[in-house]
Amino acid sequence: MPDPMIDRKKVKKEMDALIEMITHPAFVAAMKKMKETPVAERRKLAKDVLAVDTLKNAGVEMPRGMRVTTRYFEPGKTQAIQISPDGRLSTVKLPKELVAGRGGLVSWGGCACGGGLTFCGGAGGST
Amino acid sequence: MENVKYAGLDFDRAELSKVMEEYYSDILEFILQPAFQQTFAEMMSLEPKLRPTFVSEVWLEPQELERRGLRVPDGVLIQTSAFGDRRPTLFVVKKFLPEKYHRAWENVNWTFNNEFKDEDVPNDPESSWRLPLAVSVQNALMSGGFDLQQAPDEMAILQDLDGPDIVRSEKRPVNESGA
Repeated sequence: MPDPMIDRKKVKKEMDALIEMITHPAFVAAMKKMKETPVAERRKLAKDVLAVDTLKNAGVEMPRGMRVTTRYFEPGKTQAIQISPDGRLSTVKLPKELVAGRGGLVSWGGCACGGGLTFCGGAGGST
Repeated sequence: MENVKYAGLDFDRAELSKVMEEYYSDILEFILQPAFQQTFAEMMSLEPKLRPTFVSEVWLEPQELERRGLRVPDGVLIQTSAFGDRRPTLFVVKKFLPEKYHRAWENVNWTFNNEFKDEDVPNDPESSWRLPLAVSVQNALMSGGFDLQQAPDEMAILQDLDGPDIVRSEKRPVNESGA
């Protein structure tokens, strides 16, 4: 198990690298473009304009282990569900809060995370 | 860092960097508190599959945090989340940026995950931009020791829903990771 303690100096260094990356004009332009795109088309667009290789080719320096992905934030505690011994899930009932008020779409966002596997810094822009 | 005016936005790189640093630092001061570190170390001393329950019973319970001497600052959120690449994530400490910056970035966060090997979680665009699993499903799978990468795509959150309640039945078994 990695050392669970969080080291200020190390985290500060990761934060500086992350800010350098996500404020890069090409990265900001890609996020802006995604947010100006209709929700239903955003993931398709993101696979292109927010792909790690696309950003690198645009001059964004990506720290080691950087990932840019979809992300969903749960607004509160989740409802517990059960898995039977044979690996089957019981009925899943998602809470009302899961459904965003934008025409019945579940809200998700793009997230850039890096700096480590167990502990990482991130930034997000949601739908 | 060279300052740049962003096209079509009413702030520049220096301004965005400054506000992000300020907001990351607010979160950092919270997570560097001894009570936070002790609670985090306690969670990480558990088996990985026991940690989602710890998150639910400790990190998402304000009274339990208070009992441990942890007061979450105004504007800082502790939440669960799920990623499209399905890394085994546990919880996140997050702060929203001022609305002015939301046309680019909405929030900054520090995220805590179960240990995983980089090569075990795909990083290609197709995998990275899948719809995330519902957090309740993700956590149930993690608690059962299942490999999140093996979960059928049908377990992802849904788009184009037509009602406030979503009831789904998943009958397909998933493969145990053995981890």
